[in-house]
Parts: sequence; structure tokens; C-alpha cells
Amino acid sequence: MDRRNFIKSLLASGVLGSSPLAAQAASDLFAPGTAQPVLIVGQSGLPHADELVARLERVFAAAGIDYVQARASGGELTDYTHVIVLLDRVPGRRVIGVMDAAAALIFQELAAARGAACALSTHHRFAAQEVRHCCISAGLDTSIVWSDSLADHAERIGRLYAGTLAGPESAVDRSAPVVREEPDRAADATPGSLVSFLITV
Amino acid sequence: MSKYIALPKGVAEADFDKAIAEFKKILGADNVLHSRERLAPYLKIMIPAQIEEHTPSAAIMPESVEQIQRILRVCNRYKTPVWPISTGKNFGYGSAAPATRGQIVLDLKRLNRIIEVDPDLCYALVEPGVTYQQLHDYIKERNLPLWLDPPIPGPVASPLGNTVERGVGYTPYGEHFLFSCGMEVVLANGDILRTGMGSMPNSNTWQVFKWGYGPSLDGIFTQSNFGIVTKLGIWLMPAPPAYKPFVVRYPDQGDIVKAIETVRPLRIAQVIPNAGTVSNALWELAVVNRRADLYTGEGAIPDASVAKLAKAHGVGSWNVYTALYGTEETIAEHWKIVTAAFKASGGTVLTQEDLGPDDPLFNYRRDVMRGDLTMREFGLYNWRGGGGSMWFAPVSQARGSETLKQMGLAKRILNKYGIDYVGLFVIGWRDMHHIIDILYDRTLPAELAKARSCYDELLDDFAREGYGVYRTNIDFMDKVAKLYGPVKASVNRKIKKALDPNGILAPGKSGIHR
Repeated sequence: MDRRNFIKSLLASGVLGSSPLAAQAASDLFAPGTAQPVLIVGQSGLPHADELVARLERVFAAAGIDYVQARASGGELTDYTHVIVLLDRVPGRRVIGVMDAAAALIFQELAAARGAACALSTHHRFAAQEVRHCCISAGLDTSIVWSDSLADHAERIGRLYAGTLAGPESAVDRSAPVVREEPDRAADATPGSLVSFLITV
Repeated sequence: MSKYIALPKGVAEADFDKAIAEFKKILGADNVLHSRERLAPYLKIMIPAQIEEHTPSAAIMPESVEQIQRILRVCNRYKTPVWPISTGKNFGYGSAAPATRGQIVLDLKRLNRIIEVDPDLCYALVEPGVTYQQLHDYIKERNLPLWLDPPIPGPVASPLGNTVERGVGYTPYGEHFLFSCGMEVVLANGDILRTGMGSMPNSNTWQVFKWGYGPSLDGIFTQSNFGIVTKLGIWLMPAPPAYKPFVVRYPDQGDIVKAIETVRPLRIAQVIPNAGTVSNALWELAVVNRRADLYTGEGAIPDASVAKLAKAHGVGSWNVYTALYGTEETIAEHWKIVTAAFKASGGTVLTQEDLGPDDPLFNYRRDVMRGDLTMREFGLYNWRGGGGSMWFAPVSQARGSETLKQMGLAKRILNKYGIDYVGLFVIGWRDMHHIIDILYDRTLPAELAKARSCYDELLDDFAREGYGVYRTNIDFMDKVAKLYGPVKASVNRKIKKALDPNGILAPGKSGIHR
């Protein structure tokens, strides 16, 4: 199974089980099983970000992934000093960011300037009833795009990040059908968007 | 199947293997990247191009000029082209990706020494990997009375990189190439050229006198692929005793004429000395809002809705941000002149005292016009979301009628594609850099295609009126070069052949090929 299908199977799966294929999710950059807990940086004041962070926490807790959380405002996440202080706290750590597009760009660029590598980055566009996700992995040449209902869209995202973090010891139930890619779904006049990403600092 | 994600055009994999092995000998394996994962940072772009067309084959990271010379020997041997970047934060113009597929990114971020800062003569000599933030911190730590002139991505951008791209900032030193002095350039054959006085052995005037003797060469190493600039002298502004930023708001779209006619004589006479900005209402709104929170209709936001939104949010249809610099006494005198002029033109002049301490739009302009680093303007990327941005940047005379004409032309084309006119003019001495941010959702194929077609049409229609861009992105470099005419292209090609006969330096940069 190539990396693309592996990620799609993560998106489809219901539980984290055991499969050597999980190793494919963790890129060469991204050694799993590090002792440092994952840092989840969530932007405050964005309800969709709150929801996604909460779901990540639940999925990580269920999967036994150690994590800590930091909250910051949009202003703080676009401020050099604040981001650098945050990055200084996490050398060697894996960071998941959940924030708006501007904050995500600045956060990732400041991290990259300090040598950070990005394993996954996903854009989420919210419409009235559904959410369109567009995920790019360090190991993919094109993005994976799919849509979920607004009510439970965070579930797959939680599994995606958990599966990527969990590494070869953990696993994926691949019995569920692979997520269907829908590159042209969702209109452009939609009420908001969000970016999530996984980097090593 | 190749083990590389791309190969340089015309280079066999076996030869590329040998080149990579030699790079590893020179730099160590950790500084030679060729897996897709490791190259991911160089693949990320915001412009509406297919990344496959700009995929690098590898990235290599030297830390010295001597290593660059050795790299170029390998490149000449195997005909493997390199695409030099300083920090690669050329966001709306192509980020770090090369103009053509398969080039090796020559990432110069490890050449990050601040070689000298002279507080008396007010200059710095820096390498490509030095960021504005690094230089800012250096100056602050030593309490030197000097100001920088960063562009918006300052904390991660390179003064050398921005200057050789002929970027701009917002202080009186806003035209960066104008305020540079002396380059060190590694040529394709490994020779090291120091421009201006730098060619003179034992000279101590390299960073204070631009011209040296004979033809002045610095310009040919900007926006070009004739050499790799490895050191640059930049002049730094002495911190003035006093500083007074202000904004002038105009209520109607047609007021761009009054605004420019008022600001031009003040700028040419240096009463207003800095590269301030004249931004439209949507620019102001887009920095601090999401589009969907303000407007949910189809297509570009109509003028009437923009006018209503501007009024509701307390911004002008046009907003002139500029400043006075000097002593309290000179500023007091100049303040009388500028307020009289702007008020007579129908503008409302506002200062920090009028706006209070928490106006985000005023505050970030206040900061950048005094050389502080802030990325607040990146709030633009939340306007639509989706990570798409492309700068269309035609040059205009600093004449009201011309800016009005350019605005009309731009809006007509942008609106046809359903794209908002989010624009500003940077106030040059006699010109205006008209900067339009084409914001779109890069994750939607239809929007990506629309943004690309829109840019293409903007280039054509502006060129028909005699307007050229001062800078473009990696996807349109050939086209823009062609718009500047055959003679210029021919001269560029001749210089290229003379200095880089194997075409190993950044083929396609600014439309220049061997």
C-alpha cells in the first residue's frame, strides 16, 4: 500500500489497531515514539478550532498518545516573539497546530526557519452542512481531498493525526472503505476555513 | 522508476547520482536533501501553479563561499542547474520553488553571518541567510541608533534576498536596491567578484561608495541568474529623534486622484520622505476580517457593498499611511504643511491620538514605517482562506490620473473572474508600485485555474496600455520578460552565455535562459 492509500485508510478506519503499514504515515522526518508529549496549539476564539482540538484530545487519549495543549489568540500566533517563545519550549517535540490560515502560515514559516519539518497539513473549509478537507502529506505529490458532514467531520481528522503519530507499534483497522476523494466538492462562498498541521520542531 | 522526485532537464540519473555523491562529499550528507519528505518545504507554493512544474530535484545547503565554488565545479561538470535562495520566503512570487522542474535548490540559509555593522557610517554587510529579525536583534542588543527597513515577512525574510529581488519596505529607505552598496558575487565559473569599491584591494570604501570605476555592475545581479550574491552592503537609517505616523482617509473611490496629487509633491520634495502606502478599503478590511463574515454573495464584492462596508468599519475608500521623520521642530513645521495639503484635498487626517492605542490597522503601519517587524498584514490570508496568494505588481507614474486608470483596468479584469480588488500603492519618489493581492483558495482547482487566467489577462491588458510589472512569480517569468521586448531579452541572453555558458545558474529566472 502506498502512502496515499495508507492515509486514506487512516481516514476510513474506526479504531487504531495493529498494522505495520502505520509506519508509512510517519514520514522519514517524523520518528514516532518519542518520549516528549505532542503539543497541540489551538487558536482561541475560533469555535471550529476548539471543536477540532477537543476531538484530537479525545482520540489521543483513547490511543494512549501523550499530549499537552497550549492556547493562543490569533494576534499571539502572528506575533514573532510569542511564536518563538512557544517554539523554544518544544525542541524535539511534535506540534499539532489548529489555527486560521494567516496564523498557520506564520507559525509554520517561523518553525521552518528553525529547522522544523512538516509531516501533514490540512485545510478545512466549512460550509453550512459539510466540511471540505484538503490534506497534503510530506510524502505525497498531490493532496487528498474529501468532505464530511459538519456534525462529525473532526472524527476522521482526529484519527488521521493519531494514526500518523502512533507509529509502527500502533495500527489501523482498514476494514472500512477507503475515503472517497472529492476534489471538486464544496462551493467557494463558505463561511470560514481553518488549517491544521503536524510538524516536528 | 527514478529514486529522485525530479531530475534536471537533460541530465541522466547516473550523472545526477554522481553529482549528488560529490555534493555530499563537499557538504556532508545532512546538507544534501533529495527525498520527497525532506524537500517538502521547497515544494510549498501559494501561487496558482502546478507544483510538478516547479519540483526541485534536490536541495543543498552550503555554509561558505568556498563550498559554493566547489558546488559550481560539480554543477559545470554534470550540467546540473542550481536555484539559489536566501531564505526562500518569496510568498506571493513563488516561495522557494525553482522556475523550472528539476533544478537543485541552493539554499543559502546557513550563510548567516552579520559581518559588520558600522554605527557611524550606518551600514551593514550581511550574508544571504541573515534575516531582518537577526539583524534587528543584533542592533537592539548593542543599542545602536539604527533603523532597518523590513518588508512584511521581515522576521523570516533576508535583507540580501529581498534587495536582489528589488523588494520594498516602508521607511525613507524603502527602495531597497537604492540603499544597497557593494556586492560579493560568485560567478558560474567560481570566480568571486566584488562590485563597486570591493574590487580594489584593501579598500575600506566598499559599503560607502557604490560606483567604483568603470561600468557599475550591481544591477545585473538583481532579478537575474548571472551570479550568486553572497554578501551585500545595506545602508541603515539613523534613528531620527522624532517620528510622526498618520493616516489620511478619503471617502470615495475616485479620491485616489486627489490622494496621489497631494502626496506626490510632498514626497518628491522629501517633506514626506518614506515609502508609505495608499490602500483601498478592501485591503484594510481584508487584513482584519474574513470575507465570509462581511459578504456572502457570488463573485467579487460590488462597489456599493464595499462602500457600505468601508463606512461601517470606519475605513476610507482610500487610506494614505505615511509619516514625518526628524526633530520635534522640523516635524512640527512639516505637519502644518501636510495637514493643510491633505485637508484641502478632502482627506481626513488622523494620528494615533485620534485613533487610540488599539487600532490594528494603524498600529501595524506605524510599526513598519519605523522599521519594526510585524507580520500583521498576513491577516490578508484569512480573507478567503485556502492558502492562495499571488502578487500582481505593475508600476505606475505617481500621477492621480494614472493610478485611477490602473485601478479601473485591474478591477474590470479581477471582477470578471470574481476576484476582489485588494490593492494598494506603495509611494515611490516618482512612481507608485501598484500591489494587488490576488487571494484565492488554492485547494479548489476551479479557483486556482481562475486566479491563473486572471493574472495572465492582467499582464496582457496592462502591457497593452504600456504598464509593466516590477516583479513577478516563477510561473510567469518568461512571459513578463517577453513583454519587455526582444532587445532586452537578447542582451540578457548574451550576458548569460558569457558568464554562465553551461546555464547552471537558475535557468528561467526572470525569463533568462542560456
